[in-house]
Amino acid sequence: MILLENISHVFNRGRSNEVIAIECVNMVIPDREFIVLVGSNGSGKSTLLNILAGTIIPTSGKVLIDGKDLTHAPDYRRSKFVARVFQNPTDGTASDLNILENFRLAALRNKSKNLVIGLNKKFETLVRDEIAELGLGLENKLYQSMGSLSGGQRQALCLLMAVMTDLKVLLLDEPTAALDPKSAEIVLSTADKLVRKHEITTVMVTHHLREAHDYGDRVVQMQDGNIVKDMIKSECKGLSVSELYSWFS
Amino acid sequence: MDFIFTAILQGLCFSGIAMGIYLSMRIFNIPDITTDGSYTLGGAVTASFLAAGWSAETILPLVILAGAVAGALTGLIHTKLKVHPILSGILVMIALYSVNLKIMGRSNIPLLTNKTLLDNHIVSNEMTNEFIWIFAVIFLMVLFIAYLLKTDYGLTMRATGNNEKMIRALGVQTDSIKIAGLAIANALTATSGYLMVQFQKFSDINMGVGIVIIGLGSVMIAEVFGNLLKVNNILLRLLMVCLGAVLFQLALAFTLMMGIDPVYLKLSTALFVLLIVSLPRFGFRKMYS
Repeated sequence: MILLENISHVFNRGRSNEVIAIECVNMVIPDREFIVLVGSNGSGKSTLLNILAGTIIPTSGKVLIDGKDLTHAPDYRRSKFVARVFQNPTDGTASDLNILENFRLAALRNKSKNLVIGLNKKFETLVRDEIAELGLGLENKLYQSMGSLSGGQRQALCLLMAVMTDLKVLLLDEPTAALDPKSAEIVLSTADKLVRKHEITTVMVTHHLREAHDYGDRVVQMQDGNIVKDMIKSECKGLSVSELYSWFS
Repeated sequence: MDFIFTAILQGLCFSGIAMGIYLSMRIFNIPDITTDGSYTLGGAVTASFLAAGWSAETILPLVILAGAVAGALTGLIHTKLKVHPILSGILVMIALYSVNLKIMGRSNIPLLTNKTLLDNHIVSNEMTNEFIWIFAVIFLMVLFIAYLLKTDYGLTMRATGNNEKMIRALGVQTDSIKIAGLAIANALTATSGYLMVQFQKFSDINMGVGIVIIGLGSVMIAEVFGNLLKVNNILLRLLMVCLGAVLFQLALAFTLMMGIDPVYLKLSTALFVLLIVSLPRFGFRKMYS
């Protein structure tokens, strides 16, 4: 369970360009929930995601994951619980390394990186099987460099890499923003399948209301650093896309 | 013929620098300028201790350590004080000038009468003998670095320069990786200085001026051929980097053979590297990408 207590964040505090990005946000995200954050630009949703990831330490308030206070833990110390898929597919993978090497890195999340060769046949078979399940035909391209793949393929692999080790929270930062509609669909359905299979709590930020409608258990709208709408989908049968659109008018 | 063989041996001596630059390019995406200083540092330590009567074999660990300390300093300045990697390198390089001068005690130490590593005779032909020793040292370094880069730690190292954001998100404190990487890179560079000083039988305070360019040029040559031949194996890539260093020296040797005034040596070096790095801009990329 993720608990956000009185989270506030101010950029450039005390200077003329001071911006209050998040104002006293409280939120409870139960285990295994898939939550979608929507909001216009500057609404604070990305800042909130960054606070969860640990790349931004909030000005005040507390972040608790499974009862542990992680407010001041920087990103690399939080990675045991939290994985993140970035907006830009190039951010989540190392393009000069091949697919297999990228997966090896992902498998080493929170493990010490020792002076042993971990890329053996056994690992290769494991990765090949996992990738084959994606159904993108990438299982025969394990030695191809990440940079040679399309954005959609890279993003789908990012997701798979994220769930390779057992983790509690998956953060999706506009994962489809750089993709064409068809790749976006593949990536999101892959995400949905994987988080359900591995029972991961998921927070996704998106600009596409269609995605907010089609995926996730709960939709939260942010505006000017506050939560203005919070809906659990099963409780409001038939939340239509047009209704979602009306939130922004 | 001697002329060409000397160029090959010099190229082999420079292979350490080339591998050092290869490493720092993997970690930082830019070549590490500390190289100029740590190469001379390796040479200075070698020459001073040889002159003081130490044996070449016992000096090698000292040289490696000295280079590693220099590299670690650059790493610390960059990661802890948030100084740009190029500036960090320049700072350590310039500071090393004084250190090197202090170690040598003067600007030049001749080693004509001292017994160097290359004077241990395995075969009677002097040049072949030198070749065997230099090649052995370089080959051991290649094997070590190839193994290192294949390990889980090395994989992390290679990815750090490629995508630091991702590596941090994977729970790696990238600072320590960078410091360790630069330490290794500069230890390799210092070893180049160790070999070169024994090969040319003197050390000079200015021997490192602009040497980073030689490393860079060698890596670029290796990249061109590596991409052309689609080599992905790390060991082969490293061997190509060493081969790049040799080809580089051969190219310079031919320049001199054509009768170009040695005054223009550094100028031709710079132009040659410029030519290599700009090849992709002239549509050559299509051929090898």
